[in-house]
Amino acid sequence: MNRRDALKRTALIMGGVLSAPTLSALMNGCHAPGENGEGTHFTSWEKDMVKDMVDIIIPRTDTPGAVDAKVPAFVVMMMQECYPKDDQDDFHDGLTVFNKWSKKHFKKEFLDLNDNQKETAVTRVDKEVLTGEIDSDALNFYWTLKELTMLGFFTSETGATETLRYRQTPGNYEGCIPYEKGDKAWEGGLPYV
Amino acid sequence: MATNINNKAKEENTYDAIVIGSGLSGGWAAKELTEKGLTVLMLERGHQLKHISGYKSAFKKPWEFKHRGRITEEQRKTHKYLSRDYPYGEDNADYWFKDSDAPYKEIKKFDWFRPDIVGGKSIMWGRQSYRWSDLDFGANARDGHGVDWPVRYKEIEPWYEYVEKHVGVSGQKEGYGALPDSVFLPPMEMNCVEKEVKKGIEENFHDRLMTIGRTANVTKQHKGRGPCQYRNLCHRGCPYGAYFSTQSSTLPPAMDTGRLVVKTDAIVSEVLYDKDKKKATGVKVIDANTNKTYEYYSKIVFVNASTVGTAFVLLNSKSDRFPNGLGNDSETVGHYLMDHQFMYGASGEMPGFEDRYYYGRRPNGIYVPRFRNVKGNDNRGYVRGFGYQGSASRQNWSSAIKEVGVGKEFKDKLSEPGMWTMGLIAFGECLPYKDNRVYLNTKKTDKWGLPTMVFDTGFKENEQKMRKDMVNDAAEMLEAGGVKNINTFEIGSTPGQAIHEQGVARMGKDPKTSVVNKWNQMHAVDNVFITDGSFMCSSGWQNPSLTFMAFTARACDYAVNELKKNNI
Repeated sequence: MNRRDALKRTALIMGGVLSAPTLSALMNGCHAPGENGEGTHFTSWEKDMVKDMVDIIIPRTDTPGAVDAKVPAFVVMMMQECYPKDDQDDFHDGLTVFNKWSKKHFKKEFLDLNDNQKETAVTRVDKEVLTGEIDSDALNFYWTLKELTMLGFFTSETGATETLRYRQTPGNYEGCIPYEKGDKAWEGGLPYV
Repeated sequence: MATNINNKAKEENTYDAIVIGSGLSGGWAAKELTEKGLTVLMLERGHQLKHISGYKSAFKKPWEFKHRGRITEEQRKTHKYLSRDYPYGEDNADYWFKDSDAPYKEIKKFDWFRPDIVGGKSIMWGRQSYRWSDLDFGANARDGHGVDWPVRYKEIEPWYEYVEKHVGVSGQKEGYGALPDSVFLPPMEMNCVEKEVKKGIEENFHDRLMTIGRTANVTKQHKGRGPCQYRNLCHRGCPYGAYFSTQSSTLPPAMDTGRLVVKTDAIVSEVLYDKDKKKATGVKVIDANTNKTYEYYSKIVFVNASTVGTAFVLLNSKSDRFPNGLGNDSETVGHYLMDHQFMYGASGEMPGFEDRYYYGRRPNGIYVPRFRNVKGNDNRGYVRGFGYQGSASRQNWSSAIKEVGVGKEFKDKLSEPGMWTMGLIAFGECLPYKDNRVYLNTKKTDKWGLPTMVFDTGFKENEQKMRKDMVNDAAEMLEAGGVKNINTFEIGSTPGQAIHEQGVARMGKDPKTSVVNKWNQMHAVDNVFITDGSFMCSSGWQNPSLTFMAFTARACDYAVNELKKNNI
């Protein structure tokens, strides 16, 4: 288990005793602030790539998806405001490398692929990055993309209230109640991710 | 004429008592002293935070936070120490002090959590509330580390009871020796998996106990507060007043007396001392916004500036009589700084229970009180011990970030709760060491021209040796409880991270080796009392706040009696 996983577990174990905001600072390491605090520019093709990838990770189903929840803009904003410049540069580089990777495997730039091909490409990079089989470190930007997609979606209004169940003020606690397969999970507050 | 004006101004700035700090112990001092008839000036360096109306984020929904709880690169620049840790997040960021206004030096890393509000850390605290026993009050005498506590449990017990009745501590009576029962409100409920693990632990280890966390969240209406709504948003401030804070619990009765004045944005730079009277006469204050200085006067002074803050105030109060800081004849002020070590433990998966879930966000976990070195020395290679916090829950989407998967199937899976997991995390005692210290850096000043602090504090051999058990015992107990795929973790913490800092103006019988006597009264200046974490001469293994409260109430009782008898 790496430090980040361990910290996340720690936060969950403490069962609400730690003040609940976020362990992100700890888990993202103690990186120094970027050279300049301003966010780097995202070109329109970069934004389009983010949008298509986010849409594939959490699509619209019987409930709205990540694009409906405005997650693509969230990902860009978070990169610009919450990540040091080095990480932002890696993210931009990663998108470029992913585009090249797409060309190598599909003979086309990512944005020119059809929907099925895009899905295949994202599914493949997801598997390769998350299992560590990837042939390029530059594709590790996908970790951040996926994490921000999930954060942005499950804490969005639709994610929390339609894909999950949300009660701001539960009013009481019941520690052991029946659960039936298909019942939605409770939204659990701002997460430790 | 001028003299008359000065006298009048002085009179207006004069109170029976001054309390430095409005946090958990300062709030208690203000309540007790005003209720006993004293006029009190409470000085808080942070800004105003009104109960309920001040908790601006309390009803915000997750999607109303732009960064969904995370902090920005800008905040990392201005909050360089705070942003290293978890408590500083988007949803209560303005409760915290701007590190860049008063940076500090770390010879060794120290995480100093400085709040910047009325109520201090009583707003963001973890609320876990545990009594000490003579296992702890007798510890220094038993193994020779630190100075002997000049008190024992019997003397403090009534004061625990006194504060608990006001605070409202929920918990389960257990009759467990190392952890005396408090006066309890009804306990919170354990969930199914916690109950199962409890059974396994207690069947396999007859000297061990797992109980529900004892927390200062009120589980039923208590003194007009609460009950807890199970939102688990406590650290934003509770609009239901359902946990103990200065705002919810000690400030209202103190204000009701009509004898309390609270001044915010008031940085106490020093305690004033009169060498002829051999008394403290008041304090010097810098207005945080205008930088103007003021003096306030009183018969007694309570120093509740939080452990490191109190070290600052004392060390910065220099006079001919006290060239090294007020009451520092022993030269121990700033030394013996302690904090708990934590982030050692284990977690794993609990098979089964797929047809069980829970409702509500319980702001509390479970607790396993100390079982090592309890009935003598267990020959584990270290002295003292540790306790565990923990909980079980079903995994949610955030556990799946590292899992392979995209698309409909992935989304559908995450819309349902995942498997049950259960973990235990140890909090271990840190011994008092003279060379673990914090001191003033007069060469580097802060935004207000005041000296800054230097930290030179680290865990040592005894703490290191304890860690093996902290990790292995957790795994062993989880295994006994039926938990599978157990992972141990040894992330570790550095001093300050547990936010249980204590011990820079310790209590003791001998003025040559300690700062305050058994009544929290300064040996060298009898009208000064120190009742925040500073006075602790050992750290225990429990969350310490309840103990600060009990000693504060007791010290107030003593101080007022002494005042009445004209002894001080």
